[in-house]
Amino acid sequence: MTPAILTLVVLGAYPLVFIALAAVTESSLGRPFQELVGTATVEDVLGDADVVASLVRGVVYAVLVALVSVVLGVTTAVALWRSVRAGSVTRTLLLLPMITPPVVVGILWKLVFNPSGGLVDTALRFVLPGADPVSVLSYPVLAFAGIALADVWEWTPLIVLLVFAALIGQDTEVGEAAALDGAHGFRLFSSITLPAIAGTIGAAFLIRLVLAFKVFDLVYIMTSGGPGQATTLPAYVIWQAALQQFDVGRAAVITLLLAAVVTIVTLPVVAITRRLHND
Amino acid sequence: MTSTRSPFGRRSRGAAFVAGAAAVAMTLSACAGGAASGANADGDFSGEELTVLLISSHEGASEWLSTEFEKKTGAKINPVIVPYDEIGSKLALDQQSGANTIDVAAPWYVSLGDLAADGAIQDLTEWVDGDDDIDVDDFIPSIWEPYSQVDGKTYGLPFDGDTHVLFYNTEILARNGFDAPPATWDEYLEQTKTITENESANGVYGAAIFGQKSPLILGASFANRLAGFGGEFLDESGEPTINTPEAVAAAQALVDVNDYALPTPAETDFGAGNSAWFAGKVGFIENWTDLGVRSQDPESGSEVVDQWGVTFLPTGGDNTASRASLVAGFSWVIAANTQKTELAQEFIEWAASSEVNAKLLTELPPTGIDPNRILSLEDETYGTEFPEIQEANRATLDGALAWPTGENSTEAAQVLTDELAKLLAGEGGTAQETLDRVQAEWEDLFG
Amino acid sequence: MTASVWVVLSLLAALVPLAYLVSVSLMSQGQISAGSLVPTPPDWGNWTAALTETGLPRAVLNSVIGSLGGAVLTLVFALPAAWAMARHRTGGRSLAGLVLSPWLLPPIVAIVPLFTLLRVLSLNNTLVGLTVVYAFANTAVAIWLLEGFVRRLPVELDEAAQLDGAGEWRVLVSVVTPLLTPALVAVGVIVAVLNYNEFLFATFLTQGPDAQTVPVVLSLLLGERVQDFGKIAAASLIGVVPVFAAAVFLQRRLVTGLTAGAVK
Repeated sequence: MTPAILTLVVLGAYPLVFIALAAVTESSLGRPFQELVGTATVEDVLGDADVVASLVRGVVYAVLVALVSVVLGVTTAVALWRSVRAGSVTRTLLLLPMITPPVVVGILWKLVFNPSGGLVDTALRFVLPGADPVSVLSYPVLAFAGIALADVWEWTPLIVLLVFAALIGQDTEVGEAAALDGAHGFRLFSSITLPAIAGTIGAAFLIRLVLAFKVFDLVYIMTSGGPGQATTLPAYVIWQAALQQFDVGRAAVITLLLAAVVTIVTLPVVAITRRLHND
Repeated sequence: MTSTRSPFGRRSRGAAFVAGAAAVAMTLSACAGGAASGANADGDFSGEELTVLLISSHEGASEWLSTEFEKKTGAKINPVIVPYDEIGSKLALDQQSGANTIDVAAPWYVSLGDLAADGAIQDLTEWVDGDDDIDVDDFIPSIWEPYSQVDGKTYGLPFDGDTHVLFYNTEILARNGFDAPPATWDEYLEQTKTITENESANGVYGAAIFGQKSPLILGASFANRLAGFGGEFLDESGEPTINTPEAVAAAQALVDVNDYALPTPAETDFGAGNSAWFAGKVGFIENWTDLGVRSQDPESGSEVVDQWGVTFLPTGGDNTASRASLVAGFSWVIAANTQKTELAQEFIEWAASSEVNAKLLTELPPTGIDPNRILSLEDETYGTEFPEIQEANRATLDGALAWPTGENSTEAAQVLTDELAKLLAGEGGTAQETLDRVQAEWEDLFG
Repeated sequence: MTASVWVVLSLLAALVPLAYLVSVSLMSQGQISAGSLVPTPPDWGNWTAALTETGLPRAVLNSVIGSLGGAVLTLVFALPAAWAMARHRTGGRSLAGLVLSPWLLPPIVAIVPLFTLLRVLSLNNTLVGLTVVYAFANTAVAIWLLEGFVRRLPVELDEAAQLDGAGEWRVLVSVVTPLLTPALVAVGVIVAVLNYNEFLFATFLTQGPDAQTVPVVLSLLLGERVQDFGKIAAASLIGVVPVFAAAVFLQRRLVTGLTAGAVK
């Protein structure tokens, strides 16, 4: 059995070793590992205000998207759990965004935001006839929000699913006993239900955070990172460096920096989740 | 990082070109009658296959080329179609990994230097110099040089000329009281503004501006204005000159028209811009000359048949002579590790010939190919069917603005595009500040 | 009451964008730019075009084969590893976490070594090659998910089997695997969906209609010189049919599989 694990570790480590080596060498797409440059690339990348800004932007984006997804997801899961009428058909329909390929999600929201005749534009003109065309993806803040919205739409169902499963899996006796003691409504929920599913919510937040840090397809399809740098998220910068500029060394350094950033952001979440699980 | 990049001498455009042409001519005369590399005298390659990497815009052309080449030589062409922003990296990966599935490719000419530095494409100098059938002198000089040369060596043969010219919708202009297209970028701005103010309520705008953050798209819109204002990317000695007054004026012209363009420039890519043009929703669009062929083809959905005109790109500032701008443009290259060099040479020599270029110009459905040779530009059928486009394309004969093509050029183009996108989004300060930053980065990249 | 209202609202939020995509797929270019929301009359031309002009049917077939093949291979790799980790405390949860760590990063730079790996295997630009890459790419996630199921199996079961003299592999194949079938199906479905939706590897590791998958064909449509939004919408919908069908038929499995990883 040990060889099986060993093989997996090697295969998992192979890309990591490649990235680490590329980060300290002059590496182009065609010719990796040309010569050792030490930390020169790291210094170069850290001195690039656009890259640093994209990492900061990535953190803001991931935290924002994860928070919104978790709030909406938990609310929906609880509503599903409470709602008598919601059956498995409802649950299946709610899952659809999550299994839609990200490329299609990007196309879909690009069409929704299309300034000439898209859903948002048409709806707003219906409310305000004669208004100028609305173009969500051409203003920096709105474009950022637009990508975030598509991302929230795509992955909130995952939170719903995880939390809903935790809700139906919890110990019903505890809740019934508390209800007999006179706990009702919000108090019952906040004192009994919420603690029981807190660990799951923490884990769901963690998964959501990581998915948001990795987002690439939506940016690629919807905005190409624009307008300006507004939606240039870390994965897009890495793609640009490696596959547009052929600079694999630089891409590897940004990947490692992103790894550090993701670790720093997720560590507290991991710690909190652990504690919630143990309580 | 920068210190480890090998410095490379940029060719100087004017003088070096003349010298280069002379050298080529001399070599040609020296080798006249000598054995060309097409050792297969009967040109029969039956049963052989050639894998050709192309961007999705060239899919139509690839079908025509495959059919005709098989008829001619018996060799089967296996086209591999990829999105336009992936062709260079796909070729480099294919060669670097040793997969070596690609024999021939038609990448953006700006990536030639990087592909050569990566060892992904062959140095064709010896072959091209020794094969007078290629008829280098017939290539439009302003296209030949950037599309084939890096540091004095030949790495490609021109495939798709791809200069931009200004198309205008005659009906929209007439409705708004303009009887002639603009000659300067100021007039262009004025007309665009008028049309948008009058008709945007009906979904009609003065201009479609390619503004999506890609070197081939937003970069093209800037290059068109840079050409008009008489600027250059690099000077004669290869030093960046991207923050000259001409360049700043060009960037500012782009900023000025941004508010009056088809919403919204930041999202407008080829597809969105061209669709608006064919639907008769925009007064102006800067585009490849082949747009006209498709505009006349109701089969492919054009609603502007006989309602359009085409003219040279406007000028600006002190410059009064219109210059072509080689914005996109694609070259045939041979993959470094192909085992089929001979067949690959046969193919690209044929595909870059004036006969093939002329055929592709007028083929229906439109192939999207523009002239790159004098003979095909002056082709009779082309002149009869599309006299206006032909005239507009003649702009390339008087010299054209080309992107840098040496090592790091793709990165340089990306840097410029990113900064321009910030400028248009109001994040980059003034046009001068934006281009000062680009200049500094370019000095590193081309240092 | 409020709960039901919220459920209805979230259903609308999930479905209205998809319904709009259906609507666009039935419109002509003129109707789209005129801002129609409902196509009158519906124009099925886009669907015909998407089916006949784009090579989409082949891409759907490629996607289905690649994603299912990748999922099966992933399970073959992941089950022994998950079992060993859970049973022998090989590294425990921290090793599972370590195995999972590459998954935390965008896989873009990994394309270069993967490309080389495929060349060594002579599988460049083949559907088999892409399938192998998918199998490796998701093994970590599969181990992570499966480990939770394995730990829930009663230890006595395989201890008893081993006392009977059965070797480790025999216990795994004849005792553990049958017991874990529901979990394997669940994890398999998740991995298959992840494979089906993957874009970046697919676009760089395949070329030509023989191996290109649905997301790649869609991205090529976006790169055309004249974008036909109606056709792109129709093609997108055709492309999602297999995953939506999987969701409808396997919703229950999907739920158990996804929850196993986080709820343990």
